[in-house]
Amino acid sequence: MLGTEPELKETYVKSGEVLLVFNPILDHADRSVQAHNAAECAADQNRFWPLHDVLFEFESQLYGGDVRAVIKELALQVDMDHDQFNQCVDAQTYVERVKAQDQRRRALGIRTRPTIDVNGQLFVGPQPFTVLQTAIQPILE
Amino acid sequence: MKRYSPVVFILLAMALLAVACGGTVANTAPTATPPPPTEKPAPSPTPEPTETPLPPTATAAKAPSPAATDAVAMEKPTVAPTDTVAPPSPTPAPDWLSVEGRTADGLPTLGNPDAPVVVVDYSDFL
Repeated sequence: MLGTEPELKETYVKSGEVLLVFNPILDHADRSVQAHNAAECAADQNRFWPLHDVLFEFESQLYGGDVRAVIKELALQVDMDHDQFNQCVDAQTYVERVKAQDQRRRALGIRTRPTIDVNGQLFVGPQPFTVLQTAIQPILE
Repeated sequence: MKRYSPVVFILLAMALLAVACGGTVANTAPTATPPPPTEKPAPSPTPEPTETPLPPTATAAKAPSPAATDAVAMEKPTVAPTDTVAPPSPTPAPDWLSVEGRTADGLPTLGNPDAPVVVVDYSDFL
């Protein structure tokens, strides 16, 4: 959804017509868990979405080295209390939460990444913005 | 034909003169009566002043007009804002791109929690 998300935000979220929700998929074992745990730690400071954007932008860096150290380094791009953030990341505060969220999506039968749910209508795999728009626009009219 | 002495003619002429003078006096008297004077003063001031003021109208156009216009313009906003200021304050459009929240399930959200459309992105950062 990375490709279409900026347009979605600018066109519909900004105007208040769309509420965007993020449900983690843990496809890469501990690396995914660490990334999503860190995003939840940023959410403690209302910085989930800024860190979410940074992690997507630099996702290639998450594949190598000490993933926690990489995440802490990337998180410096987000304006927040980094001591608090780092403590949360090291404490693994939200690991169980993100695992439970991942478990729930499995129970819903969602296996492909990304999957987009527009008011219950599922779009499996990467979609161009126009496809999502054809699902959103009729609801708004 | 009977012949009249010149004295008669003189007397007649004097009588006519007296009548003529009396008419003048008589005319003076009616002139003093309310109706005529009322009519005269009314029309004369209206036309003449109207024409005379016209040149001065330039004076009025010099500054008074704009000044008056400005004065009105200044006054209106002073009154209008009071009414206008009231509604805007409760209606500031929220910046939904900075509104973070959670669903009942604890999933992170971005935007208007009362939005008619909910888009759930199932994804991984890697």
